Amino acid sequence: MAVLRCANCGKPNPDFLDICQFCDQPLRGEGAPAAAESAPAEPVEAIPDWLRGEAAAEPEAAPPQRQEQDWMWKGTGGEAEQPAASAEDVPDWLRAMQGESPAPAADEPSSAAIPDWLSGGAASDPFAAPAESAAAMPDWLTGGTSAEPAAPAPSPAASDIPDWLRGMGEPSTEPSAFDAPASAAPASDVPDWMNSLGGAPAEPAPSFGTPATPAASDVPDWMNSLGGAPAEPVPSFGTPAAPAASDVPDWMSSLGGAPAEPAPSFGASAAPAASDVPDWMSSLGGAPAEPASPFGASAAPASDTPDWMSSLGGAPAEPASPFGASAAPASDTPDWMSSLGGAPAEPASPFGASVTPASDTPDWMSSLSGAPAEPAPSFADPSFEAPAEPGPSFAAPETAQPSWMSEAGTGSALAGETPSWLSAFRPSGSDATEGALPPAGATPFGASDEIAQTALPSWLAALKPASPDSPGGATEADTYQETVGLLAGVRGILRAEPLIAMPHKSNTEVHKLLVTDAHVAQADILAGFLKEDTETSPEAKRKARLSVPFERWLVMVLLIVAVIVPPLFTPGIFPVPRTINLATQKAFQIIDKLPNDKPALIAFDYDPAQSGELNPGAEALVSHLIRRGVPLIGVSALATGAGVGEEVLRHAAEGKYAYGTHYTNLGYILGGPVGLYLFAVAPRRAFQIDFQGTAQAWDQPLLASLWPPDAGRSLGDELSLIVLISATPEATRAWIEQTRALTAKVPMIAVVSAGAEPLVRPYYEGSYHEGEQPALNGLVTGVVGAAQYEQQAGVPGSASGLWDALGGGLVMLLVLFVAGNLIFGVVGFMRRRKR
Amino acid sequence: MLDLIGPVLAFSLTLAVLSYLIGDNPLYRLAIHIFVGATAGYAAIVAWSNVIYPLMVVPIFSTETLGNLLAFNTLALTQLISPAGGLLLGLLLLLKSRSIALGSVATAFMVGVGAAIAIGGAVTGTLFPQINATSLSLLPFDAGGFNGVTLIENLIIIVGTLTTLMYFYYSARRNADGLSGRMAGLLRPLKFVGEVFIGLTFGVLYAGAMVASLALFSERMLALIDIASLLMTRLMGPS
Repeated sequence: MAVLRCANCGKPNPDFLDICQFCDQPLRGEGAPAAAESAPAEPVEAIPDWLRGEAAAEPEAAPPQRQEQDWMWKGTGGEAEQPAASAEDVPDWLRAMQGESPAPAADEPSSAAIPDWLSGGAASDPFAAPAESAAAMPDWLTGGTSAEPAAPAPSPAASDIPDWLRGMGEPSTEPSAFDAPASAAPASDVPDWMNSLGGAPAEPAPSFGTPATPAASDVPDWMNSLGGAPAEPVPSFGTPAAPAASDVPDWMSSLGGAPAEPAPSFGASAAPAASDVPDWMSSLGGAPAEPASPFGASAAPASDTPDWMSSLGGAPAEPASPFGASAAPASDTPDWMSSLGGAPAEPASPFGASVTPASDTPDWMSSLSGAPAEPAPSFADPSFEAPAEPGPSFAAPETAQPSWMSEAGTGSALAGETPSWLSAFRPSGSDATEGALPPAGATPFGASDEIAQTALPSWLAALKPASPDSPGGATEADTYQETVGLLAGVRGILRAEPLIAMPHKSNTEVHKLLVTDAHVAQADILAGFLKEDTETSPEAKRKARLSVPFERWLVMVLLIVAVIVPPLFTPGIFPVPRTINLATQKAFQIIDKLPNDKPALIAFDYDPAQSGELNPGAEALVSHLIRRGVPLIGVSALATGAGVGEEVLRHAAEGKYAYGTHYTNLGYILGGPVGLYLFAVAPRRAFQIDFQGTAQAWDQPLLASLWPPDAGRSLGDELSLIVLISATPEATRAWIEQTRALTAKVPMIAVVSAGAEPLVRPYYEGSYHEGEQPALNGLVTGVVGAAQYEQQAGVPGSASGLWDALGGGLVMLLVLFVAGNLIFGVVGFMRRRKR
Repeated sequence: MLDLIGPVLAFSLTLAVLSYLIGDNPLYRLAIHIFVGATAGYAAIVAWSNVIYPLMVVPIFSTETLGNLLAFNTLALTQLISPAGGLLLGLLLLLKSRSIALGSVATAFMVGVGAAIAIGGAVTGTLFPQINATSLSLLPFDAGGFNGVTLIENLIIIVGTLTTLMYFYYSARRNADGLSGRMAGLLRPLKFVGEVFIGLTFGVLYAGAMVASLALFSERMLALIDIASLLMTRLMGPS
């Protein structure tokens, strides 16, 4: 992919961009470089002469830009993608360091990437950067100059380059770690502190241009260490450079590393000799045994460090490097260098934000530190004049740092300003319409008119979560106060359980709906509907009526009169029944012809509440059986029915039958239909004792011979009759369903309530087929059937005593039915007519 | 005098129940509570004395069973298997709760056995006989020759049974538009006939309930009169 170098900042940009991603300047058009391989232009006027060095004299000496950029653009494509650097952006003093760097190795960062001031610049001038190295200088060092990659950057004017820096321009014969065409600067021109950066004389210079090694005599000690010993190349970033230990201050040796130790690189650790290292530079290189890399340096002793360099190295324990940074003591540090180091405790690196004095910092240097539009620093040269125009050597003029620089230095791409293409993806701020897309011009892909802005519909905009910073949002302050332990009463301590893990509700209204007037109106309507349902409507006014149940009382009185009067005052008014029901007659005939060698089973399946209706029939049948001499066995499928049966049997057998001999009451059959089935299959297993509690019930004379154990006899084998007395059809049905299959040869008679008779009669009239026997052989229904039975038997009983009362009540019921239907029918008809 | 306690209580409780004529009142509630409590207590005592104790406790702890058990006689197993199994199931049913699912075993056993017994009895004791009884001849002839009454009776039985079953048919043919439609045209009059038979049956049932209730009421009224006479005789002395 081709690369376009920005004419403004000199940064490489992909060719599909129209606007520089660093400085937001157009890449094409007027002022833009014609091609990626265009030769770097003349240094900008903003670069002071002392920085330019021999740049004007040797414009073609700059090494290819691509090589200078390698260490910075590692992985981005290699030399082929190196953008063209603008020569005018390369400070002279840097350009001078580039010197005559050899061609870099293919796999190694180009030594041309080593700045001149690190690489030693020109051959004799610390600021005379090698021709081939100047072009390789990164934009942030070269100021975005459009120097030809093949042409070395012009060396700064010799007069402008201090001696101490001049010597740093000698390239190294060995490729630097960053493939810079490093050439070792003359050792005499390279300050010690700079020499230490370059390391051994034969080692390549740092990637910021070729290392220029100024003459040692002209180089202050503190600078010597930068360049290292004479003929020692400036340490490269990544390449092992070991300056002579004697010439390398400790603080610089830490930068370049100890003798035979690799030069300070990105992350490399070096331990310069502490004695020769000024404090301010020691912070660049770091303390002994601490990494002294310009890009990750640790603290250097602060005592020997000029203020302007202290800003580079920073305070003790802080990195003192122009590329990695920390604050250096401010006293000896020129402003331009202080801008590199920045304020104390702040990184003074082009890769990290820093605060620099605004006065003397050139733009290209200020871009290193992050302060925009600041003058380039000066190496304590009073002749240095701040460039008239800010030098966008290291960063776009409108942004403090390029994103790649800020990321490397601070670890965050959000430090400082972001390029426009990146800022296009920011959440909409104050200047953006709510819900609107980012400005079209901020798209990273250029064409501003390809994606048209649109507005969210109101209903969707209403769902937009509110920003936590919105006025409605409230910050959540942790007011937790410990209550137990030694820290009781202390606020602001860490909880044993993190707050995020504790269930709570945020005070911040992140989701806030936009409610319109129409919504409110609709909600009010719905609330009104719900309220109407819960409200009790007042009762309609009605005429005052007596609350006495007059109708109920009237019916009751009439019935009482009808029931009481006939038996008391008019006995015999209702004649006894002369016609006998066929079912009742059959029941009578069965009992009347029943043999008395086998007992009859009587099931009292009704409770005391129905005894008034069923007792007459039960007493009639039991009396008949007793008169016939048939033994009786009483059972009940109801718990309370056993007691009723006990009472009936005892009353009927009083003076005639003996308990245990002629009759017995086995009691309650548990289990409903299951118990009935068990009783039908194995009667002895269903009972152990009788209702009176006789322990050995089966030893009674009546039962001793019945259903002997292990004889395999069922219920029907030992019985002559089964009488079912039940108030409900279900009880009768259960007996028929469970026992009839085993008692098919035994006649079965049912005495049922008048209310159950319609549902029981099918069992009596179940079969009209010839030869088939129905389930019930006889049926006695209520008091009427009992009265008929007594009439048939000729023995009056309790049923006869109830006959008058029952007759009077039935007559009254009939009158009430007719009268009531007539009255309410007519009244209803009249009301309907009125409506 | 002790023999008057029962009649007096019966008299009082009867009047308390009849006091419902004036509406719900404490006397009526008292009588109802006494009735329910006495019934429940009586049933519990009968269940224990007639069923649980003789069928479960006595067989397990009888000397014969314990002797066979101690002698490791296999007869003990046959003697214990039924009562012990019943006792175990009863305990499991008492312990039935959400946390203990063992009680569901007893419930499942009861439901399963009861359903089997009930279904078998219903099919053989009710369903088949009723179907057999409905299959009647519509020929007006019987053993005695022509008998029109028999024909009418048989016809009524058959028609009533079939139309009553048709009344409980609720399916309908869906219309072309997918909505529920009307049932077949011939089925509607048959459903009406079945509805008539059902109405007649309910009427007969209601009449029978009325007669039964009247019989009970009459018996109670006469009982009150008898008790009142007895009390008056005892209080006033033989006159």
